[in-house]
Amino acid sequence: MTDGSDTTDDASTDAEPLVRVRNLEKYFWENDSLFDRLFGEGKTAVKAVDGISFDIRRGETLGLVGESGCGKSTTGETMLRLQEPTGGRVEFEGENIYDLDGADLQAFRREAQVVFQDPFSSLDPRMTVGDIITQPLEIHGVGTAAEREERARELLGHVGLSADQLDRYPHEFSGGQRQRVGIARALALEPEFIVLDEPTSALDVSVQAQVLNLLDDLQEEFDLTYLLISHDLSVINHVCDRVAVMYLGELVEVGPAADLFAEPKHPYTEALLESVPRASTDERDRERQTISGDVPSPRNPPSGCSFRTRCPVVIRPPGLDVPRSAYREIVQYRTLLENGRLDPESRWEQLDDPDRTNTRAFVDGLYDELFTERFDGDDDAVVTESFEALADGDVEEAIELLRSRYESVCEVVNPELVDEPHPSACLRDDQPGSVRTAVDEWEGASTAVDATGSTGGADVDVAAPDGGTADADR
Amino acid sequence: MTRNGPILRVEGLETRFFTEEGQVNAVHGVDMEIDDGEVFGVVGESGSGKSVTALSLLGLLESPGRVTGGEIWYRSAELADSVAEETPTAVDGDYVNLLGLPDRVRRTLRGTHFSMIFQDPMSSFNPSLTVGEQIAEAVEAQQRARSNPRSVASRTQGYGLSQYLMSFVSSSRKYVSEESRDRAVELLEMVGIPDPVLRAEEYPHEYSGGMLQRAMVAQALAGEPNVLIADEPTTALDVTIQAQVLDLLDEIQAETGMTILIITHNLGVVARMCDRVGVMYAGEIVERGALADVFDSPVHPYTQGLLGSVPDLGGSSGRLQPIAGNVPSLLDHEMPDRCYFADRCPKAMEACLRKPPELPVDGAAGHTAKCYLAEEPFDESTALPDGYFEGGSTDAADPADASGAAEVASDGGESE
Amino acid sequence: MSGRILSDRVRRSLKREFSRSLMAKIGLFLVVLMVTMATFAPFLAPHDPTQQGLDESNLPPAGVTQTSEEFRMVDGERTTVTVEREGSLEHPLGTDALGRDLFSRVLFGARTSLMVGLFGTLFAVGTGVSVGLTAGYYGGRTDDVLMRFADIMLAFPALVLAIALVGLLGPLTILIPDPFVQLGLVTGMPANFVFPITLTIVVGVVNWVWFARIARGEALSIRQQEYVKAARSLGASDWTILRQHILPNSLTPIIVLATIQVAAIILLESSLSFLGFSGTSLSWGFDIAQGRQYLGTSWWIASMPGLAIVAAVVGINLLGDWLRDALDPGLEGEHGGGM
Repeated sequence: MTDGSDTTDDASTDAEPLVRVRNLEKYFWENDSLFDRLFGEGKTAVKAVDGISFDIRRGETLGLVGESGCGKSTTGETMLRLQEPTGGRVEFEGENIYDLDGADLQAFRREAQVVFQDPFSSLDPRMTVGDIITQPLEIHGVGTAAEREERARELLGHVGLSADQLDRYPHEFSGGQRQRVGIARALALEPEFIVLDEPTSALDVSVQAQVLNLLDDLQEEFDLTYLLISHDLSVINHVCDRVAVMYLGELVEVGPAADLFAEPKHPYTEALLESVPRASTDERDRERQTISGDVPSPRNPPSGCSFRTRCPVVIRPPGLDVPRSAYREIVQYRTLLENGRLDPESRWEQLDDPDRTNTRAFVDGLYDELFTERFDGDDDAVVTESFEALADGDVEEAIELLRSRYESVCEVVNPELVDEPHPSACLRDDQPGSVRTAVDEWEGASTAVDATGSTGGADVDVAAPDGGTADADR
Repeated sequence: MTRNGPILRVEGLETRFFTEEGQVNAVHGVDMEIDDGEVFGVVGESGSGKSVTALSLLGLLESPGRVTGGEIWYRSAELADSVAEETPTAVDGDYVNLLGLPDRVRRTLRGTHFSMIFQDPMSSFNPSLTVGEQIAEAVEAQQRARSNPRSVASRTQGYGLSQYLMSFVSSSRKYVSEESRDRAVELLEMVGIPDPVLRAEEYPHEYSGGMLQRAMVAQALAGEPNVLIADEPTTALDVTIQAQVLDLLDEIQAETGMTILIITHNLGVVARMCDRVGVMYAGEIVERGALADVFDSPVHPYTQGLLGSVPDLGGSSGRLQPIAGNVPSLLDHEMPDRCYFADRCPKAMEACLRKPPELPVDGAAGHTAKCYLAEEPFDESTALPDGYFEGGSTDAADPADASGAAEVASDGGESE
Repeated sequence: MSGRILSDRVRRSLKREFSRSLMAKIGLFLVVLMVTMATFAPFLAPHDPTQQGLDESNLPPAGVTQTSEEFRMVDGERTTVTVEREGSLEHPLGTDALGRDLFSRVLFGARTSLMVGLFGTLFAVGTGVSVGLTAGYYGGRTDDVLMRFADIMLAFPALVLAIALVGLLGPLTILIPDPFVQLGLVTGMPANFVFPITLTIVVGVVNWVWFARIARGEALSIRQQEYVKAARSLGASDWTILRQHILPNSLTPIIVLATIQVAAIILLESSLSFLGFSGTSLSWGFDIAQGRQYLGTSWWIASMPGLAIVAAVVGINLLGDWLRDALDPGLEGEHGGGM
C-alpha cells in the first residue's frame, strides 16, 4: 500500500522492523485428554506452524498467503498472543511479546489489533455497535463514558458509517458494514499494527473492493502496519508490499510483492499463481501449469521438503536417466505405496485369479495403469521387481526397492530460507551453508551406494518444467 | 454449435419465496437459452438469485420457495414421446415444458437428464455409506430408467416400501449390484481419483475436499445426463484444487459433449470455463452474451462495476473501482418499478426510472443488456442528481475518498 | 450486561409462536393459574388447610355422591349400614381423612411446589452455569476435572442421590411469615409458610449437571467466536469476557432448559414429599401419600393433588416447548445474507 519502492533490500540498513518473528512454532497435540493419558495412547503433534521467521517493517503491508490448513491464521493469532506458541519468539518493537505480562502486556494489546474474516461472528450479536466500538476503550479505561461515545462516533465516520447508527445491533447491518464496524473497533485504541485475517473473503467482490480501499486509506491516514492474511492471491497482490508464502506450516518464499508475482522462485508459489483463474477473456487459452494431488496431512507431513509430493520439478537423483514426466509417475507410485493407497489384495480380487498364479497379469495391469510408457534397462527391472514384490503382498519390499534407486534429495534435506530480500525454501535455489552441506553428504552417500559412476551433482535443472508433466493430474 | 435449437430454453422464470417478512422475488423474469454442448455461466453476487435459478430448473426448491411463473423448455424427443399422452400441453415438438410435468416425472429426470453438483461436497454425501455405494446407487437409478424409458413407473421402482424397510433392518446390506459397483469404480477412475478400487470402499470423511468434489462429479455423471448444473463447484476449494476440478470439468465436457451450466460468483471461473455468460443482479439477468462480448465490452454498468472490482493478478493497478452499496432487498414491496440497479448506478438517468427491457447491444449477435445504455449513450443532462435515491438514508461519506461518497452512501439501504 | 436479553426479533418470534400454537396458550394458562393460586392462596382458600374436622372427614368433591357400606356397632352388634355422603361447595374438592379441605390444601401445596421448583432451579442454574461456563471457557484440565465430576453426579440415580442427601442434611425448614396474614388482610389462615430448605438444595444438587453440560457446550462454541478472540486481543480479562460475551450469548438455551427443569424439579419435590422427606405437610406429594391408603374408598384424596401435579408439569412443559420453538431457529437472527 505504501509505495515500497525505496524500501531498500539490504536488511542491515533498514530501521528496526516493527515485528520480528523468529522460529515461531505452534504445535497442537491430539489424543491429549485425561483419558488418552490414562490409557496411554501416544499423543500426536500437528505442526500448524513449524518454525517460521520473518520481519514486518514499519508502515508496510506484509501478505501471508497460503491454502486452507497451511497455518496462516494460527500464525496471526499466535503473533497476537491469542494462542501461546510452543517455541520461538515474536518481538514487537524489540520486546518478546511472550515475556510480557501485566501492564506491559496491556500496552502491547493497545498497539496490536486484529480484524477477522467473518463479519457475522466477529461482532457480539447482543451488543450495540456503540458498545462494540467503545469496548476497547472501556477495557483500557480511556476517557469518560461521554468521551468514549464521542470517539465511537468519530470512528464510525472514519470507516464510512454514520454516527447515528451507534445504537443499532450487528444484525441490522450488511456484511460489508459489519466489517467496517470491526475495523472501527480495531482502530479505537490507535494501534500501530493490525493483523487482517482474511478481512474480505466473506464479502462479495464489489463490497470487497470497498473494504480494501478503506483499509488502504486508513493505513495512509494513521500510519498503520498491516499483516494481511489471505488465500486470495489477487487481493494479496493488490494490497501488499511484501509477501510471504506458507505451505504446511512453513514459509516457502518471502519477497517484495512485485518480484514474487512477476518471478516466483518456489515451485509452489508458481503453481499457486498459475492456478488462479483470471477474469479475462484469454483465460481459456492460457497455458496452465497446475499441480496435482492434495495438501498432505499436517499430522504426517512429508520428510524433507514438504512440497516435494506435489512438486513438478522435484530433483531427480544424480545419474538417473529418466525423463521428468516419468520420474513424476514414479514419485506418485511411491506416494501411493507409502500412504497405503495401493492394496495388492484388492488388485488380485479384480484380476479374477483365485490362485494368484498369474503374476504377469498383475504386473502388466499395474504397469499400464501407473505409467504412460515402459522404462528401459535398469529402471524397467526395478519397477517390475517392485510390482512383483507387491504381487507377493510385500509392500515394504516394494517401497524399499524404489527408495534405494529413486530417492530424491528433496526427501532427505529440508530446504530453508536464506537471509536475503527474496529467498525461497527450495533446494534448487540459494540455500544456507548447513543445508548445502547436508545435500553434499547425501549425494556422497547415494553415489557411493549407486556406484553408477555419474560425476555430476544432483540434477538441478532450473529450466521451466516441460509442458506435459505438470498439468495432467491423473 | 446449435444443431436443432437450444437444449434448454427458459422463458420468464419467476421464483418467489413466501417468508414472514413478505414475498421475496428471488428470480424475476429470467430468460435464457442454453445451446447443446456449450458451457453457460451464470455469474452474480450473493442474493442475486443465481442458485435459486439452478434449483428452479431442477425442481429442487424447498418451501417457502415456489416457481410462480414462466416456462422451462427442454429438448428431448424421447421424453416428449413418453409424456405426450399424459400431459399433451407440456409438449411442443421435441420440447417439453418441465414446469408442466407432474412432480413424479420431473423426479425421474434428475440424474438421467439433469445432474447437479453443489458447493459443499461434504454435505452432499451420506456419511454412513461408502462413496462407491453411493455412486453405484446413482448408476442403478439410471439403469432402471434405461430398462424401460417409456414407463415412468419403471424408473421409480426400487424405491418401494420394502427396500426402504430393508435398509433399516440391515443398513450394511449390500443393496447395489456387482455391475453397478464396477461402474462406480470406472466413474471414479474417470474423474481422476487414484486407486479407485480402494477409494470406492472408503467413506466420505476419508476423502479430501478436492477428492470428494471429484466423487460428486462422478456421481453426477453416473446417469449420463445431458445437462450438468454446477452450483459454485469450486468455491469451497483451495486454488490449486480448484484448478484441478476446473480442468476435470473441462475434460469431461470435451469428452462427452455435455451441456454445462455453471453458477458462480467468481469471474475468473467464468472466464476459464464458459462460452457464454449471463450476469445476474437482483433476480434478473441484466446482461448476457458471448464471453468475449460481455467481458471485453460490457454495457450494463453493473457488469462494468463487477469487472472493475476484481483485483488483478497481473500487476497492481492502483485503486479498485467498487460498486457503491449492496445487493438490494428482494422483498416484493421494497422493489421499485424501475431499473433495480439505478440506486447504485454511476450512470443513472431519468429514463432508468422506468424498467428497461432487454435491449440488443450493437455489433454482437446474442449480446443483450437490460439497460438503456445499450441503445443510447450516457446523457449527462438527464443524469439523476447524486443522492437521488437516498431519501432518509443516514450514511456518512467515506472521508478519505471524495469520489467514494456516493458509494458508501447507499450502504445502509439494507439495514432498515 | 450491555445487551438486551430479548431482541425485537426474539420478541416477535415469541409472539408468532404463541399465536400459532394452542399448546402454548394452554401452557401459559396453566402456569399463570398455578402462580395465581400459589400467590393468593390465603384469599382463595375457603378454609385453613391445616384445620381438621373429624366429622367432616372423607367428604367427596362437590357434585359427587358416594355411598359406602360401613360396619357400625349398633347395640353391641356389628351391622352393616349404608352411609351416603354428598359433596358440597363448602369443600369443592372434598376433604381428607382428617377432614381438611382439599381445595385449600391444593392451593397451599402449589406454594411449596412452586417455591421449591423456582429456588431449586435457581440453585441448579447458578451452580451448573458457573461450573459449565468455567469448564467450557478454560477447557483443558479444568474442563476435564469439572466435567468428570459432573458425569459422576449424573451416574447416580436422582432419587437415590436425593435420599442420601436428605439423610445427610436432615429435613431443614424455615418459616416464612405470610405477608397477607401479617398485614391482617386475611384471617384464619396459617401465619407462616414452611419453606423446605433441604428439599430445595437437594433438587438443585440433583439437577445442576444438566445446566453445567449445556453451559459448557455453549461456552465451548462461543469462545471460538471471533468476537471473543477480538476481546482477548484487546486485553479484556477472562472475567470481562465471561460476563460480557459468554454469559449473555449462552442464556437462551439455559432459559429454555430452566423452564423445563422447573417441571422436573416439581416432580422430584413431589416424589420426595411423598416419601416424607419434605419437612412440610403442605405439599402435593405429602397429600398423595396421605390419600394412598384411602384410594379404594375415597379416591379424591390422592387424585386431587395428583391432578394438580399433572396440570403444573404439563403446563410448564408446554411453556418450555413454546420458548424452545420460538427461540431456537431465530436465536441469533444471523441469517443476514441471501434470502
